[in-house]
Amino acid sequence: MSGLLVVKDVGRREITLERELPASTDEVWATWTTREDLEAWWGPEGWVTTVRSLDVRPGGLWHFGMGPQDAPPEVWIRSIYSEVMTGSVLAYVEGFSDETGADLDPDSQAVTVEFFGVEPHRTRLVLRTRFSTDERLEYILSLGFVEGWTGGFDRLEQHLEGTL
Amino acid sequence: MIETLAALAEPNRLAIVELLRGGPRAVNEIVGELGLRQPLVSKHLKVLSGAGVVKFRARAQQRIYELDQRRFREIDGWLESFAGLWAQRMDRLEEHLHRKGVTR
Repeated sequence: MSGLLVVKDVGRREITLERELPASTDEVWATWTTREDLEAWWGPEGWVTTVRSLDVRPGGLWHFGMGPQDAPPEVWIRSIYSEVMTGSVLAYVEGFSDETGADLDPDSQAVTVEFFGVEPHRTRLVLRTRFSTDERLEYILSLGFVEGWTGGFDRLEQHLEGTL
Repeated sequence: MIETLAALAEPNRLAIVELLRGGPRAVNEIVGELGLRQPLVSKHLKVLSGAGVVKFRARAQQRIYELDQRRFREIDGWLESFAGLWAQRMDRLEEHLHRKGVTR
């Protein structure tokens, strides 16, 4: 977990992750707001991300699918940007969708990504996710594993062994 | 886990849990420190112990409540797994930045 700082606020159903990256805020911003970049790094290891829409402005649609290589995307995500401050803040409401980009998810979560320049070539990303309901939090967590994040599975398994 | 989160979602119950973080308390101490009415505190404690968030032991005529760590470890484990997803994603982002040649 190279340097990921995690703050959990169970009362607010909110989780905050912080991570420093060795590039300028402009470069890191570009990786979040450019189709080619997102398709290159977003999504679990071994999966492919296909960006259908990337309209980075308040009210704009970010629509993408994720799936195993050489197969159609299995999961479609639709986000609507709520706040865009170029180079510093990206906020969106994220939910499940289909390949048309329809809003199929009444229960989305709010995500805020902040880009802080700590040094000229060092950026601290602060990622805050707030879940709408307890059920939602549990669903998202369980779905994360379905996406093939085996690390999560391992941890869940260890965790279950430790508590049951 | 849902029962745990639901039990914590009520502000007064969360306040009780935060108070008990400082150590075990008798019911009348909780009443005194939070300024809530005793029947209300008892009601919330019942929900919290039903969800396994707190446990109690009897001392003389009193019940002493304390946090049950198991539930908190459970929530912690779930949230860690979410963090784990992001840790991997951030690793991929960093690799991507290196490939792009924009890192120093």
